[in-house]
Amino acid sequence: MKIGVFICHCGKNIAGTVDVKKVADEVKKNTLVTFSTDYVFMCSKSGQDLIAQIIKDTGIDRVVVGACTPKLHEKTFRRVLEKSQLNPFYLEFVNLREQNSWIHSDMELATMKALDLVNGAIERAANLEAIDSTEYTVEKRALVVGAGVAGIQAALDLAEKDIEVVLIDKDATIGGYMAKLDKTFPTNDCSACILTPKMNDAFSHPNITVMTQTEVVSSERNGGNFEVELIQHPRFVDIDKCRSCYTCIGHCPVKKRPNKYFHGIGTTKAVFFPFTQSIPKAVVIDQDYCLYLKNREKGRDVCRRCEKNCPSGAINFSQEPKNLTMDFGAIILATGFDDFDPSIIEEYNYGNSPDILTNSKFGFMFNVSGPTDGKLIKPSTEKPPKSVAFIQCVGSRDDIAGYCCNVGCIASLKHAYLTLKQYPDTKVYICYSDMRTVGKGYEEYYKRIRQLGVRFVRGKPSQIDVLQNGQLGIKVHDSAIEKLETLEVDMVALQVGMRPVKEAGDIRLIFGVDPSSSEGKMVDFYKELHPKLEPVDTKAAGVYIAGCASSPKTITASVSEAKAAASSAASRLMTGKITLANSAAQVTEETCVGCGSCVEVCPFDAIELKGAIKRVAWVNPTVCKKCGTCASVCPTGSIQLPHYRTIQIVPQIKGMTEKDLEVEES
Amino acid sequence: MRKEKERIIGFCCNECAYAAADLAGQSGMKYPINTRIIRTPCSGSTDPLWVLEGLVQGAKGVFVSGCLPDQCHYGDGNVHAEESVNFLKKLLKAIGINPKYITSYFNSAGMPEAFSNSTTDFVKDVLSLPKLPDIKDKVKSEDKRERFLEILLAYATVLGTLEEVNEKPIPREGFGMITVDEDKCVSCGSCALLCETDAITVKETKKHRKMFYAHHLCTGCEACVRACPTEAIIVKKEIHLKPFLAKENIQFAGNQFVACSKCGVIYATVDILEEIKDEFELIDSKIVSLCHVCRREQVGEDYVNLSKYLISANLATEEEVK
Repeated sequence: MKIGVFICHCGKNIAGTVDVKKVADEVKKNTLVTFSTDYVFMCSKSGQDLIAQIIKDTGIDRVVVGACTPKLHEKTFRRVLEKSQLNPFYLEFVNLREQNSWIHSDMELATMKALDLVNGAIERAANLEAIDSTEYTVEKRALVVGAGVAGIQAALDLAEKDIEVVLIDKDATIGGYMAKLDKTFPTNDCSACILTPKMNDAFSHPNITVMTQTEVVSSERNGGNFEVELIQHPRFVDIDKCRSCYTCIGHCPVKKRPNKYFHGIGTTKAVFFPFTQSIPKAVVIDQDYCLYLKNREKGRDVCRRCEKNCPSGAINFSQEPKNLTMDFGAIILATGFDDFDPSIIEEYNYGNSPDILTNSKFGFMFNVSGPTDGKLIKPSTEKPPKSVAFIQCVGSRDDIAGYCCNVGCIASLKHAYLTLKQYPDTKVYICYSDMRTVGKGYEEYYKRIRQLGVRFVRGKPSQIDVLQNGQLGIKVHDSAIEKLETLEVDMVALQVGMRPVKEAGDIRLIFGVDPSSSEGKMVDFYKELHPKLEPVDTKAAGVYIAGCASSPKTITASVSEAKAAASSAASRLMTGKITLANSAAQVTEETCVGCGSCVEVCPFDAIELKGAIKRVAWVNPTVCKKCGTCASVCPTGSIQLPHYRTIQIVPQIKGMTEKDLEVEES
Repeated sequence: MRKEKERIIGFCCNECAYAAADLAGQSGMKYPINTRIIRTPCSGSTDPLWVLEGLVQGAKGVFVSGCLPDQCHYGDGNVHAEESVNFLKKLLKAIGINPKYITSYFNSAGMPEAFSNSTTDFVKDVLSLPKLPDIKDKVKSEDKRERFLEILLAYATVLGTLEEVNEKPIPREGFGMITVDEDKCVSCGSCALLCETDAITVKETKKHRKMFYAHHLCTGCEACVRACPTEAIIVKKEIHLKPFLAKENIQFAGNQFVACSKCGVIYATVDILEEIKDEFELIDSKIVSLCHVCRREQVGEDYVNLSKYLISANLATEEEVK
């Protein structure tokens, strides 16, 4: 047994707080340690080469690396060992950065802590075992969850590489949020003009199967694949038969269904198109509003006028929710975002006046295929507004959520522009905290709209009152001119923050993706593997993220990410195979007493007792997920998880507590 | 002024707790420098022995941290982790140690603030507690169960609490306590034959068989339950600290042997014969008092005699008898 210890400075990241030379020197006293050194950037090519060279020169057979978090570079160094003909699991990685130098500032104590951690690692390394691996095939098929612009783009990019794609969306149409917009900043080009061709491409592409009203139920890893169960909710319309002739809509007697697609602005029939260019081009029936479906449960047969009048027999009330299970080699999560609900901010009176809207709803009115046919109206009077105020950062950059919505400033500028284009005499206010117009062409856009005469008020309103005369009174302190102002306007658009979709938490648990955090608190935006270097990969190998699923983004950024995610996923899918370590729990049959405690606690039913008289636990290696819960209850220590055996952990504990901790008085 | 010198060991699951600890570092948060984190795949893998080992090896306190309830990446490992820690807390309390030396807390990978707050609170609490006695030299065994016992025993001995340990049973997988219905038990010894850990053993003299049970060796596997012909045994998966630490090996049954009326070999206990008497009487009461060798001989002899009788009385031909 020869152990080599390599302590990384990480520039000053570690060396600034930990006396790395002292750590490297101290461990030399340990008889297990053959070689020990510190180096400025262990992960660099020269750092990796150094380890390889030392393995070659000194014949060390266990490697301890003290550097950043293993989540970042454990793989890097395992590869170094592998290239040097050592089993990659002969590496023990010590976290000296995230869990030491970045947390603490006292050099003496941080150095002692580093020594403890490294000593523990040395003892553990001495007891590590070789683990071999098996190659698994990866199905050349991807699942894209969410068919907004990011999902569509990712699906198209994959399909172009001749990869089979299943593109699902919970809505009855694909297109996501972008399809609801009229114009897109900073070019003011028509959203539909640039998105709908892509929607069509995706729907008609031979490699893409589009499934609307579909959600993920569960996902199980099976070798290199994901066995995913999907559920498709009934549309009550045969997509292939519908000719989009509007006959059914004309006959439907239900008129007051709130238009959920446009966030409740306007109404539709119970049978409807989500919007004019929706894809698939087929009507959909809302079972919560359809007279027949509502009464069918009670055993009554009413209405069915759509069915009777449909010239192509497309209405199909016999549709049931459909479950199907498929194997996928990669998953792209492009689940998008929801608007923050501002009604919890009482002083803004959202919900107490129809004229106080979210910026989304305000924007949908400009959409010619939207709920007001493209006309901006003051909802309470249905007349053009004479004055409009945009309130920025509602539920962003405040006590409710610390993060920025990234698009609010420029979205309000766009809506100010669209308002003035429709009604040039409108008085437009934008109450802002900071105008953030970072991006190609954004600052120019800002300047252009400033010149249109928009009044910029630098301050966040303290109160929005619904006045007797039907106007809205905004109390705001303009810090640019140090003046408390009361603005009277017809309409208010609240630029609300972006939130993960409500299903995001469930979806991330299904696929084993981590949540993000903001100011120390959890947010269900998916966490990338590395914020800079692996922005579309996740901790769950084979699961990628694109668009607003990971954080608030513009369309531009979402499309870039979608292309990146497709590229990452394609690397996995085109290789067609992955290698996984055979590290399932192992049983020592000689000492196993067949008590069944492990069987009792295994969350995956991966263990069974075999043998008629002497019973012995047996682990199914393909079912075992390597959590180690079985080992914790085994009374004899006969079932153990490789790499986390008691004979590895206990020496680690001993190693990290061995040294006397007394420090000289300072 | 002397600087802080106590260690706190934390077992953090790779999925959430370890990631939250990393994120705390990345977000510039602080938690006490005493913390030494050991990465585990899932908090459920944290063996109670590891936690105790931490205390034995001189850590002032040990915490186990995993994912939020219902958000375990491995089903319900976090539930098991919490159970393990609660089990240990009860054990510590029973031997007179403040259970606050160990704890568990759960947060998601996206909750570094919660992680560093919980860690800070725990470390602060633990540092205010008196130091546990050093029992390192008293723990020698490498066997998991034996070492577990040694640790608890050493603490109880050094603290002088061995006599008054709480007897209340503590439920736990991997431990077992049997209850034997003495009226049903016939001291046949089948249970001892199948017991893998020698928790049940027999001691025999020429005239007696005695049945013994050692709770500290019992894993609750129920092999004895399956072996028992008279359904006399019930097993509860729990630990009773007093007999556990005392390594009590107590007699739970016993019976006189019976010798074969023909050859004199010991072949059963009185209770076994009592149990099977009724069945045998239907056949021939005489053979009950014979050992299994003599019983065969007797049955054979009886058959030959019967055949001879049948032939002599012209009730059957020689061919038919064959």
